[in-house]
Amino acid sequence: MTSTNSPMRNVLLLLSAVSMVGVLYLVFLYAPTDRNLGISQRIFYFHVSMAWVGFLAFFWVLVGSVGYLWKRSEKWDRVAYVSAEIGVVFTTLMLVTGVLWAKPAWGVWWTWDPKLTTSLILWLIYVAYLMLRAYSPRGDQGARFAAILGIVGFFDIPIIYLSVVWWRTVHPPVVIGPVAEGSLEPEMRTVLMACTVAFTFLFAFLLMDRLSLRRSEQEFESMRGVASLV
Amino acid sequence: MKATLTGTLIVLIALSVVVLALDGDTALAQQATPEATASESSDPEANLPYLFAAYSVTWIGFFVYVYYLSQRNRNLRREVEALREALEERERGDGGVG
Repeated sequence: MTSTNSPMRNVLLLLSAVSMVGVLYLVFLYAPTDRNLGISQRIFYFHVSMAWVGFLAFFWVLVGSVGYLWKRSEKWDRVAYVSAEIGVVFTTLMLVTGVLWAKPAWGVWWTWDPKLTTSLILWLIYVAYLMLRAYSPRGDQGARFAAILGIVGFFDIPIIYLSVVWWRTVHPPVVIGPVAEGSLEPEMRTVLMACTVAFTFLFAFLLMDRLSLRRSEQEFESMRGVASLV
Repeated sequence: MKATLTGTLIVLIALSVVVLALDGDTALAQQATPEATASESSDPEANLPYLFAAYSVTWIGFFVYVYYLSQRNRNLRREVEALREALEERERGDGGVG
């Protein structure tokens, strides 16, 4: 069972809840309305923040996978598996909010633009990772195959980030990071940063909770194995 | 877990097919720019349903995931309890024989 009374977990839960309320205020009442896109531009704040958390989660899949292949410790495998699950949740929501942003902005729900296509590929890679974990035999073999997929899949992230620089694309330019081309109004930048921080808190909370649950499930499985032998 | 994954994948693929089928001509996007679309509507609140849908989907998504985690936690508690009872029963049985 998960340790629902862990102080760190409760702190993260509180931080996530408070920051999410603050972010909703900022998104709907503080951020200015975009001149070109109107009110639907406000989807951008959640969309970009969820993309960031998805990338962060897949970075942890990479760390956990490398750690597992190196040390063969269940702890690293657990980090990779749990991060992949949370990353898929955030990436799914990022894709859905992107579709809902695209329709009023471009007039279509979806287009095979390089950034959108590489993002969809990323989502498919990590869904495949989860399916591999679900259907492969338990133990080292399944974890090893998944670790390799988790490492290879991560290389799609820099391609997504740089796709707006490498190819002609209808997607708005990158506004944050070393290859940023677009610019944001200061108020919009503040709201985006606040949103990113709030979603990072939420990710940390979900990661801690899910890790604890996964550990309990694995301990229970080994206990059941021992009990059946006695 | 397998059933959940397969179910989620089927729903998402079905949704994608519906969206792509409704969409028709995706090549339109190559011509459309934010400026061009915005000029079609001068009302900044014209796209409110999309904003509402995006935020609703996000929160529903998170709540569904948290609910899924709580269900797994509950199932685990139930299984631990069943295992404990089975072990106690076995111990009692062993005691009776001995």
